[in-house]
Amino acid sequence: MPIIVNVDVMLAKRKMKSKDLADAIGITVANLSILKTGKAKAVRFSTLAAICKELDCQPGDILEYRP
Amino acid sequence: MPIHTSIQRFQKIHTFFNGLFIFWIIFTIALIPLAILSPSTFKFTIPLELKEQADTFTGNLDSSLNLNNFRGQLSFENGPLPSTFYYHVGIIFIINLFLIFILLQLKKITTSVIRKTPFELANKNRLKYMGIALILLAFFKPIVYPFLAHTFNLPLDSPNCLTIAKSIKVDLLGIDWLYLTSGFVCLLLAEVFRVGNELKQETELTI
Repeated sequence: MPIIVNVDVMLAKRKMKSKDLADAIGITVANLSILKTGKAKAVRFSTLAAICKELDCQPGDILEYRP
Repeated sequence: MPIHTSIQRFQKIHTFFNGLFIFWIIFTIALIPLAILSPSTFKFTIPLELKEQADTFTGNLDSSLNLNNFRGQLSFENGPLPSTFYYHVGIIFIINLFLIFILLQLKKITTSVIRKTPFELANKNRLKYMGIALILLAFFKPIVYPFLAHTFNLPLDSPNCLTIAKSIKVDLLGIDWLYLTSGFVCLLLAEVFRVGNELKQETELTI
């Protein structure tokens, strides 16, 4: 998959734990782990919006395209 | 329809399949002693000593009936087995094994439906195996019957056999269309379950 998810980078920048983010956006830690490891096949816009709101960033900061 | 009603209905179907499965296993196992014990000839005799009783009989009896005929014995004896006995028992045994396999798959599928995980990949495989077993059963009679009959030099029940090669016969009219159609429906359902499984995985991996 050429799409890289940089949620862990943003989490480190914001000094936030995975569990706190999962609780804040209303998904399980397991699902957040799937997203971070790149196993996810799709991300809902609502989830993306919630992550951007919590981490105070743009979708481009979280998702990266590497061909 | 509420989900719990559907699950309750499936629990009843599951119980039915369980009962049917146990019945078929007992029936199949019972064929073994039947095949072993049937050839032994048995004979039992009922002595008829009605002479004395007839002497004391004073009721209205037809005068043409000679009571002396009752003196003697009444015996029962089983005749020789037909030559096709083991052939038929063997065929029933093999067909039962197929049916037990199909019932086992159905039992497992209903169990997974009760567990609310019907679109698992195992169910696709179970349906595929069921379909193959049903198609084999459909062709069992037209191909295996004549083959066994020829091998064991037994007379064939069906006169519709077509000789396709020297001493190889195929009973084309003997194809069981119900089994064949059910088999293809099962294979189609297996494909539906495969797609269902892919959709399920995609939904599960959508965050």
